[in-house]
Amino acid sequence: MPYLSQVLNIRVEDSADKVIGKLQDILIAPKPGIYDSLELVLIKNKKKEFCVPYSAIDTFSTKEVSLKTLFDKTEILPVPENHYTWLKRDVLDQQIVDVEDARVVRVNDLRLGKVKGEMKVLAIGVGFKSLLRRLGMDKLDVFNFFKVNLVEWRKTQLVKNGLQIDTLSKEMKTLHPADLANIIEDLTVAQGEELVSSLDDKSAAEVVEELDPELQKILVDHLGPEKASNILKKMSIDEIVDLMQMLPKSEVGEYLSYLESKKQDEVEELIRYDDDSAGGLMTTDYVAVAPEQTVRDVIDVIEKVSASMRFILYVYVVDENKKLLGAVSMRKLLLEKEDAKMKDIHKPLSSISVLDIDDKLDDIVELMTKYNLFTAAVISQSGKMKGLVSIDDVMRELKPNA
Amino acid sequence: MEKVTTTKKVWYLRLFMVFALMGPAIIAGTANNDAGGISTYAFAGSQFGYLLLWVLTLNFITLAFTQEMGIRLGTFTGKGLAALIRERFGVRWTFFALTILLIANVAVAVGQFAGIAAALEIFNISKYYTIPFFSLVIWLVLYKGDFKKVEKIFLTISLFFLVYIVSAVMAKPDWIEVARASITPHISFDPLYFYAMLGVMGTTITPWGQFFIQSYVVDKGVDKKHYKFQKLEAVVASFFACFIAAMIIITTKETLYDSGIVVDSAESAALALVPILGDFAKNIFGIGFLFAALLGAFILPLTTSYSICEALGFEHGMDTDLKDAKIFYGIILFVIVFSATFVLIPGVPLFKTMIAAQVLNGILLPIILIFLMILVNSWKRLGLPEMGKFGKIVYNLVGWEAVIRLSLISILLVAFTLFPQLMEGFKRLF
Repeated sequence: MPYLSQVLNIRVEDSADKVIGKLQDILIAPKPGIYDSLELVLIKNKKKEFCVPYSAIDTFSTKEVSLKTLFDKTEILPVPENHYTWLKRDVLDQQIVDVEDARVVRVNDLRLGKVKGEMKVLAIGVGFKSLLRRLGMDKLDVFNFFKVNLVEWRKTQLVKNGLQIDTLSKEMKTLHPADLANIIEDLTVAQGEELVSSLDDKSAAEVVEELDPELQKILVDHLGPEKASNILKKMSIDEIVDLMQMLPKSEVGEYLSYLESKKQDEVEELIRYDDDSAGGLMTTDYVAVAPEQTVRDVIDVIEKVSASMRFILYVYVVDENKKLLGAVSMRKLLLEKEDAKMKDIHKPLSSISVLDIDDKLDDIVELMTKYNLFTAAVISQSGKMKGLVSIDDVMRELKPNA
Repeated sequence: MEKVTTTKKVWYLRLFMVFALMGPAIIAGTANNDAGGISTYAFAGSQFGYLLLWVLTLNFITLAFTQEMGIRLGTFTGKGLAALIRERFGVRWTFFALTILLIANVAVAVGQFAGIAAALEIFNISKYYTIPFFSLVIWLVLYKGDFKKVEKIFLTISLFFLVYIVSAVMAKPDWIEVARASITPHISFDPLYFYAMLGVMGTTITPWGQFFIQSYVVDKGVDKKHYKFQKLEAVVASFFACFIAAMIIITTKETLYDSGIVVDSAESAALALVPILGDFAKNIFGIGFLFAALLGAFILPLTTSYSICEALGFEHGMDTDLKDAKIFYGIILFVIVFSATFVLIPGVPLFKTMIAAQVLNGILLPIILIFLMILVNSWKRLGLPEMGKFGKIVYNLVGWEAVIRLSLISILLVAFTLFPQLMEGFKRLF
């Protein structure tokens, strides 16, 4: 089973051992999620470049490549303009997405081999070993110090000349947003932009939320106001706020104008707080209910808003002035009778841990760790419910690059 | 993250705003004049007076064009120079280019470490204390800290070298003579002249600078629509870099060359600033010099490792962890340890090392420029906008002229050093 680097520039002979040229490249017609068959072999001699179909090849090894018939009898094709992917020109030494490990790697070599009698591209070589082979120095590694590091071909995604979005594999589409974000961070901005544009707005929003803030800003800039605002609409409030803080003031207004006015107000309010304070970390996506509402009413409310929220662990009971009175956990809601009123079942304010809007990251971490909280309500000085800090917002602030 | 709507602004933020208004070009231009640069220009001015000013004029043209090429490649491909070399030329040529880059960069890094040692020897602190200490600091900041924050502080302090503009003006040079020297090529068949000439070229235009500018553009994600602005900035930055260099040469010519003092240490380089800074010249120069050297000592290990890992496909970047990017941090550590060890060898002449590093850069530069020129000429394949016929001719003229000039002088320098009698022959010929 040869590597591509071992057959490139090898002499090609016909069935009478007459040299017809050197192997210049191998062409495939890639489809997602499979080991692609070798379609055409590009041969170059002193006079010209031409292709022969792979089916005309008899022997294909690192020692020799030969045709089944005499050269005169072989089907000769012109070098195709497009449609095909050239293994040397378009794949070797280029970047490729390793979908399984959600990373971008550089193709050091390509492993070719027979599957059910057909010669196919099996894997890409990514490690040091394949680099040594390319340099003709693999013999130096006598103790096999370097491991052969292969990535299965069918689990990769070509990125050369654009992502060819219509060929995106199923695995790629179903990656976790955080993994997709990782990949985008390693691609060029143009490729990342293309990938994000290919997603529906909701998925795109999830991916953008996971991106490095610096790149978020660059990408939003590249996507342009129209697409960017569609994505923005689907992002959670606290993420929008973070992003707006990165953008120049002159552009913030434009992006905000695309949001509905309620969301716009919330963002404008949140922007004022420091990033590492409770006000800066919190989201305003939480469920607030009135003391007189029953369990049944609250479940109806949750049904309505559920799709737009990342999580709901508690519902918060507030009075008509938005003053926080207490909280009811999901568990409690499940177990209580349908006609039980909030005011009768909520935990009193004195027994739930809340954050002040100006609390610093250290205070927040301490409180949430001490009381084992996944979320904590944030209140203003006058006791009004302002928002919700969740543990993942805190983690993001502590480890921004994960 | 900076706040958009913070109303309170601390004084240093205000200071940054001022620099922001002055334009990144000026900052970039100042950063270009690192410790090695200041030493080389000071040496050139005190040894040869105005004779090398014309080289700066050529430097300006070459630098503006090569930087612009880097910005163009970065903006339109979204990839660094190392990645483009790999994709265009394959593994073998990439290894060759990276080896050249590694040698040139390690030389410059050694020069920066020598600069740190030289700066603090002004304050009578031995290199055996300063080098281990700063090596550790540099490693920790690159490994754990936030280099971007540190970078800004250093850049600000390096702006101290703007003082050369004032001192050059105060020295009341004959500006007509300066202008004449800037446009009159001068060649003398003296190995030291060739040496200084190559040093002056090798410190203004560097292999690392070429890789750095492109990565910078890529990381900033410069949009194609801002390309024209970037282009203008490259010209302004290049002019500014060469302008400061000229001011250093003028200052040292007026203050030292005329009194017959040749700069051979950081201390004697500081003498040039005595007329303007008085008794404090030595100390102020020492601090400015230290920060200029530190800035380079941070950037070089980083950019070297970044380029190598980018081309070979290893995990890289400031936001990676040691466990994911062992090779990236390994190369950084190697450059730091090698440079520190070299400078710590007893009896190593610090100032000469700094200048030698620039000369070596000048010798290796044409090889990197050849890669650059071939890439720029493959615009169609790389998806760059097409240049007009005139543009193509000008770019190739400037680029290849620099390649030929640098190669020729390098060859002559090596030949003259090995065969002194050859020089005698040349002298008789002209």
